[in-house]
Amino acid sequence: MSTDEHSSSADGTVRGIPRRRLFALGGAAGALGIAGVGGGAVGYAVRGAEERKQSAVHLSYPFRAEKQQGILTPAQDNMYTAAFDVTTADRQALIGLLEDWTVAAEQMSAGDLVGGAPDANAELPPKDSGEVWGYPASGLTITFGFGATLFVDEAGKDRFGLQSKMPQVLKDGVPKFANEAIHTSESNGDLLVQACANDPQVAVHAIRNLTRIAFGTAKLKWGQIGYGRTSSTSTKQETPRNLFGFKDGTNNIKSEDADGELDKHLWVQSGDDPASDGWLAGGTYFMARKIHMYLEIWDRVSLAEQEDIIGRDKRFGAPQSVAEPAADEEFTPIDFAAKNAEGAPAIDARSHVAIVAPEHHEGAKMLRRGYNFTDGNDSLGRLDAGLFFIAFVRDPRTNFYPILKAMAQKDLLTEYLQHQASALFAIPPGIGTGDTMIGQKLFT
Amino acid sequence: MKRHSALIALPTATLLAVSLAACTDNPANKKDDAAAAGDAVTVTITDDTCEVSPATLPSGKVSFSVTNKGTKPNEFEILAENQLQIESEKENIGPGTTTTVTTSLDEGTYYTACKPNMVGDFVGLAEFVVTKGEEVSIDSDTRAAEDKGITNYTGYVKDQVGQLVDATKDFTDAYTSGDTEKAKALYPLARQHYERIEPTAESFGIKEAGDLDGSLDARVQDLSVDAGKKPDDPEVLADWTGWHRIEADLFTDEDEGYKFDSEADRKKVADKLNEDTKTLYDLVYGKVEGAGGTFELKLSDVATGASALLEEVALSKIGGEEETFSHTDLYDFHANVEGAEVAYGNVEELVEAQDPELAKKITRNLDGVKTVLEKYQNGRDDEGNILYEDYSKVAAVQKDAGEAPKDTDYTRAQQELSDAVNALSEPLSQVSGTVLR
Repeated sequence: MSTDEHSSSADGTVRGIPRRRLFALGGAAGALGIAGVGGGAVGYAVRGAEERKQSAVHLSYPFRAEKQQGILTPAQDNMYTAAFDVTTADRQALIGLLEDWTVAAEQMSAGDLVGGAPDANAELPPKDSGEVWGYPASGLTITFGFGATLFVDEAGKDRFGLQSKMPQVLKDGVPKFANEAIHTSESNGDLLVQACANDPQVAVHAIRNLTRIAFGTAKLKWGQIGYGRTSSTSTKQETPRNLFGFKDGTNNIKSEDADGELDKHLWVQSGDDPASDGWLAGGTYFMARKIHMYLEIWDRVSLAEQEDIIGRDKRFGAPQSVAEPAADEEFTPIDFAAKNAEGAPAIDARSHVAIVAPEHHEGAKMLRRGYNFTDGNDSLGRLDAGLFFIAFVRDPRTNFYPILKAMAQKDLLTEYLQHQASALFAIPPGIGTGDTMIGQKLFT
Repeated sequence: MKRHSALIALPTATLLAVSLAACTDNPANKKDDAAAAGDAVTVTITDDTCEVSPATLPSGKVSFSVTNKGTKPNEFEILAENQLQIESEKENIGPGTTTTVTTSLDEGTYYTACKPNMVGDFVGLAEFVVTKGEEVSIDSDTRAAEDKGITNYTGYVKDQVGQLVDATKDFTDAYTSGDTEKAKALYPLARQHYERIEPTAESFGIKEAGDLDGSLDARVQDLSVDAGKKPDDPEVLADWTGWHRIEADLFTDEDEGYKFDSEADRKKVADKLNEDTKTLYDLVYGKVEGAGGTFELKLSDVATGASALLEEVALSKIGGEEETFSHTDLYDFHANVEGAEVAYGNVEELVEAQDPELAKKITRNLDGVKTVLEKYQNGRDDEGNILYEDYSKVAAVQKDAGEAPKDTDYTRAQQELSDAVNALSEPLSQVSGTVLR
């Protein structure tokens, strides 16, 4: 170009071609050149992975729907879940916060800035912190929930006139289980916000901006960043692996499951609970457990023993009842009666799959949607890592507690785990077209 | 922060009627096709339309009465000519509700638009023309209030720096004469005069902005980090002057390595503190010029002063880093809040006129901070000064410039103080944008 500089005219044309067009042409030619090189299979595979990545960040889910986002949404790669405690005693201020959160959440999940384009007034701090300005929506979903302490405080006081609408499940709370070491400061809370996205910065941005909106009304109590979803919630997704290296969540509820199945295990039905029927029917319960995994110890366990503890083969995820594990055997139904070559049960009755199998719990299923976490290390050089287990269920008393109780008491895997935090929230149904806030029916 | 609920619409409208009564032009000047300044513009929203009537108006204060007749929550925006910048907006107007959006518009071309559910493309984008109106771009009341705010706050800064000179002298007299108990009691009280005007004082320098603050108020943690040495390293200590050098000598034991060796050393550091304080006084009173010329406050300094003081609290007082030897952080905290209250008080009238909800919120949250602080008050001394508890007794703090507490060790008291400061800081951060139009 430089030799042509002197012949460019004032209107930015070079030899009659508008300058901008010239650059565009050069760019296209360059791209073609690269594509031309990658004609082989390798180039194709790389492009395929690139395209998948591209499409994952360009996903965008509607905020208003019959159900909240982030439950049956195909599990994204990154999560930031946080709980807030309401610091005000003023019901109107709480409603104001939920209205502001609703607007911000809708804007963020559409890939917009909080508050829209920046204000003309440069003297004001920007409404949106700006770290994902111009980024695509990245499949961001934001899911809201209400905890027991929003209804009544620890002394049993009705904080915001909501006590009569408190679900029995929240009143009962989560029972204690064997071998747990729950930190109350990292458990439960008044309000839940689960942000999931295919870009970690987008998920963190969501929590950061909702936290900021809440100053003076509610404060962050705990937060958990997770990565590498540990369950698949769609048949289109490959089953991911947990930090023990095993495929996890093979036998999960899927969004493609028949509505009858989802109504039975996932969604709160009208008539389940008279107190909360008016606002929670069509919603669900969120149950989280922060499970520390003793990775260093697990990594010293032989492959055979690891597979016996889990009850599946490590490579393909096929149940041990399958004699010759292969890639297409992952979803083969588990046969607990199968015998191995020695005539012993192929699957140990205390193995993880045996303990949690729906057929051993009257068919109870849950929608698992957990994430791995690694939060640095302790002073002994051990990773502080594990599974942030999340399940959405119609009723934890039938679909979760019995299974966890069996796990805590009998599961071979429990030796390598410690439950360190716990959270239970009621998740109202989706936000309607005319609603100005999440959980509107709870407050009217 | 947007304002909530249709409740606000009434007071605003009333306020407007009152304030505009003084400057409405003669009805005889009204044109048929344009509303007069002060008339409300009617905005009717449905899910796919956004009608604004009339579409032209003389410059000045304008209020839009917005009714959502659709089925979705909606947003009304007034955009600059580039259709990007928002001049004014109201989010989350529920179906069936009416709200009022009030703003000042100069002569020019604007656009009005709606945005169902606050996302996606504009609906009903339409040109809105503001013609040249009466000269009311800034009415004399506002100008007077601005001038008064600057004058009063400047007076406050001068008053505090004057008191600081005397209080510093009393403190150093006690200190150099060996009356340790008296010096310890005077230390936090004298510093309060500095803490009340800290952001202003911090900006001062003779050679460069801020060097005076470094000489007066440097903390050993910062000096040692800058030098890459331990806090009690002799080289670090040799360069250290000001309040906190004396604090380290007064409030530590012999074996900690911060004690001065001689009376002469004590006198030297005390003389330097008095001399620097006098320089600060001379700068504020315009007797000498600093690095930035002659001292003069602008409205923006007053408006941001309050926010800056709260930042001080959040950054170095909550964690107890400011007074790492004496643990008198709560005195500084109290003074920062007092200073913020005065700075804000001088622009409060302007904030109330622009955004009464914001003013209410600030007042409420300021009271919130004061209420929390009161829990740690220990009566008063003979002079009537409020006394505070030793901060290390109520908080997890960095002791003797040693290791900072783990961020998980903060006590309930600290969390409460921090929550109250956060609640006040957010609305205060909106002040300068509200008064500097």
